[in-house]
Amino acid sequence: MSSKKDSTFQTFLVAFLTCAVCGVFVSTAAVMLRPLQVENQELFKNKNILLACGLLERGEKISAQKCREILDKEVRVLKVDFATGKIVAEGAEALKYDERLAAKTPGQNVSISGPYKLGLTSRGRFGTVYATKDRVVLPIVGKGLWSVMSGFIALDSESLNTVECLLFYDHAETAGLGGEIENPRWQNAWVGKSAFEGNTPKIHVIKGVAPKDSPFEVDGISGSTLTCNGVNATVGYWLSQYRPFLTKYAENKGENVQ
Amino acid sequence: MKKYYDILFAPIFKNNPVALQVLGICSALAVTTKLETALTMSLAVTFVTAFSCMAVSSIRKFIPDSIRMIVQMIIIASFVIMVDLVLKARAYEISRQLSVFVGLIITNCIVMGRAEAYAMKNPPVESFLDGIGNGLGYSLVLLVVAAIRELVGSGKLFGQTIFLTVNDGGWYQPWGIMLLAPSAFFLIGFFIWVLRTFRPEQIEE
Amino acid sequence: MLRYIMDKIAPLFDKGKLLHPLYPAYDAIDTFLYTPKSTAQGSVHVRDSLCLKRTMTTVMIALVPCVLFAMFNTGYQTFELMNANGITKLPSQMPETLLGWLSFHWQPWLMTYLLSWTEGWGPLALTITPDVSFNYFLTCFVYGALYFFPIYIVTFVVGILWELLFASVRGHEINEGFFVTSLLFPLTLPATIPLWQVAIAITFGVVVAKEIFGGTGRNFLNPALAARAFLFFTFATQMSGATIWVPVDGVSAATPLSYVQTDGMAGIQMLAEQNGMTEMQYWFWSLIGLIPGSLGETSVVCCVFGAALLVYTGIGSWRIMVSILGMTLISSFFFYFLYATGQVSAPVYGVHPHWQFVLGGLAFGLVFMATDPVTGSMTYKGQFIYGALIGLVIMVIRATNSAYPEGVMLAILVGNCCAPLIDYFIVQANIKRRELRNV
Repeated sequence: MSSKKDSTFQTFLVAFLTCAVCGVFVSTAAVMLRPLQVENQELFKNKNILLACGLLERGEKISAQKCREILDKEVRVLKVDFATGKIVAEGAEALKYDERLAAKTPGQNVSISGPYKLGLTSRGRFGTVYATKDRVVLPIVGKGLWSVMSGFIALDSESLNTVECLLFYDHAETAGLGGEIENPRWQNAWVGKSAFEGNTPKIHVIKGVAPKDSPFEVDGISGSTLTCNGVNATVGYWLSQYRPFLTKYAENKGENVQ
Repeated sequence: MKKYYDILFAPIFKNNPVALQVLGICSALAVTTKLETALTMSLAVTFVTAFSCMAVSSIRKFIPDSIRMIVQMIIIASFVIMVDLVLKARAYEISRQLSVFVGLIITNCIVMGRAEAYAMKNPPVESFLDGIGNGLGYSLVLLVVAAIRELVGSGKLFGQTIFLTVNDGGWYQPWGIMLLAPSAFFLIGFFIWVLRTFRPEQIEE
Repeated sequence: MLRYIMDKIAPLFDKGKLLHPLYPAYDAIDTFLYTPKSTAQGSVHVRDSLCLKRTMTTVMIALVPCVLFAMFNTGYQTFELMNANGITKLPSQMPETLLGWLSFHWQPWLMTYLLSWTEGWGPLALTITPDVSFNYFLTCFVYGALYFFPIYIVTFVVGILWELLFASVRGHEINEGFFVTSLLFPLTLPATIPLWQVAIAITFGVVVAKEIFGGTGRNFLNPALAARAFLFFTFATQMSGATIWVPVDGVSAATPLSYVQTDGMAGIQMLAEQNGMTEMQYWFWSLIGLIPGSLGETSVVCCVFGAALLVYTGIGSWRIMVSILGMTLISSFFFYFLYATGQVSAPVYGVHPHWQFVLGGLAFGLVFMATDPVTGSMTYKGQFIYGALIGLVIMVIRATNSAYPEGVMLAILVGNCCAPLIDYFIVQANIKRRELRNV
């Protein structure tokens, strides 16, 4: 018995059959579940965009289908040239552009310098902006204490200055300390503040509690100075980069003028 | 019937895989900051252990000794990948939080340990029950640890606020250490302490 | 009289009597007051005249200057900060929440009362106006004591209760080890620490770091440091930042070490200018310890006194102290070299090595924490390695970890963890060497 079981032939046979059976199961599952997974990933991204646009409540459940519908109907996706501030593409073509990928691709990226300690070395030449009737949503990304934080900052489309929403959807800051950047209570403290003074980004997180009437200062998160520094650099950098676009956008009343 | 009963429930207190055999600690540290993730992880591990043990057991007479570990591994890995795929498709938010730790069930010693120690020597039904039992033993520790960590560390249970924290304008000062991995070590240690106080026969010399 | 009472109540604690579980408490008080009645029977091996009790008493005496300085500096920093910010009244807010009440600081009220009460007492009249009078000195001292003693008392009471519980359950006597722990722990805390957090932390220190491993002498981590580390990670908001070191509400006074963390030498220059001193003068100022920081850690001078006493009596190992100092010096030179040659640009690397010794808890940690005979290395060679390891980790954390400005606590805990291993290898190497010799 044992000799037969341990023969070379049997060894190969069992190895082959196990692999074959397991392979079939796994690949079937993978193929069948693929569409659902893709949809989930898209939903996750879209949900955060809608949240920043103010078209979705926090914690509200929404189907991927519905999410896409709202996005198609209410939100303009713009591909923007950082240098000139011009809109270079809109809609489907703008959706195809991936700033994070471009940032890593030589020829399509620009190295980051200047006063903001963003912790990243380069960004794409173009950026993506989501615009609705009421808001202009700018994606922001930068390094916190431990790793890269991604989020959005939304400005009021009338003044292009009042912050309507700030959110971070992806980060790895210390839970309970820096991780509080995902606390809705803290994020709400940004709403109503002013982003720019003139053309310079001025809004920033301070240490301790910000005075109620201060237009540029946001409450700090205690015990997370370094994360807050990262937030300040991130918000400041991207606001300064999107400034030409915002100026153009205001001049053209949001129209896409080539 | 008594036999099946014993197989199923012995691993929960009498022979707990985490508390007595001290297996599967790695994931117990990583996924227990919240009950939600801990519960998902528990279900995943129980499922994988039960079914891979049953699968290994049903072909145990054909597996050559020289490649038995690899065969067990392939079977376990297949189940784990399937669980991971299902989670990504059906519970995306949780699967994002669990990140690599679902995949790491493959390396969880409990699964491999039961397949090698039990399923290779016993019939499928017993192996299945043994898998479930060990999964439940693991789950028990995970859920206890997660419940304490979530409640003390963020004042919540299953994401529902129990104590309103200072950051949310409440009175509760959450314990930061509970959100860090070492706290799980301490809690598992306390769990073992309590368990061995009531069952002195588990104390090692 | 006292002896009479002690003898009278002694039978109450006999086996079988109601109070027997409390015998350890009785015994502790009894032997603390008098020499133990029982003497060793049979042949004993006396190495020297040191017993645990005397060791602990010596350490406590060595700590006295640090304690006194802690009280003075807490008051001094408060009044200086108030003066610098133009605050003339002791600030105090009524707490609004339950948590606020739990962490309530009543000291400003009591002090305000004391100020008016002692008015016109001549040399004893308290004053919070900074000058060089004895009155001001006394005021600083009194105010600091108001902060130090509650922390100390809570530490002591809570810790001793746990010790009692374990001693009763396990049926052994209370060891004196905790007396030192209870004095060390408050000195490592900021003055504003809420007392309920002190209670939780010392519980952790005594139970998890010590009793679980079998009590005094069997612990591998220093209980006071373990308690502090627990507090540091659990209630980070109350253990780090700029507003916790000096008890003036709403005004921040960061430790010099945290300025160094972000700005390097520029931070020190700025602080020196703020105080109207040259850099060298400010260095001496920090050496004396008149800077914000944890209660007892700021004064290097007081720590040096303690070190001298510990080394003289042979309780603290000079090998550990020297090797920590040496390794800190070497590694800080190394980091400074990297900065000076332009390999790294982070200003924290560029701190001049002589500053490393007067900032943060280095002096305190190396004199009183790292030399703990229970948790440090025992072998002479091992002590050098142990000290060098701690020195290296201190500097690596200070220079490269942006999340924590101070590395002394974590470095010593790492050293504690490695100490048994270091000793093991030294002993093994010794055995091998001797075996070779005897072949």
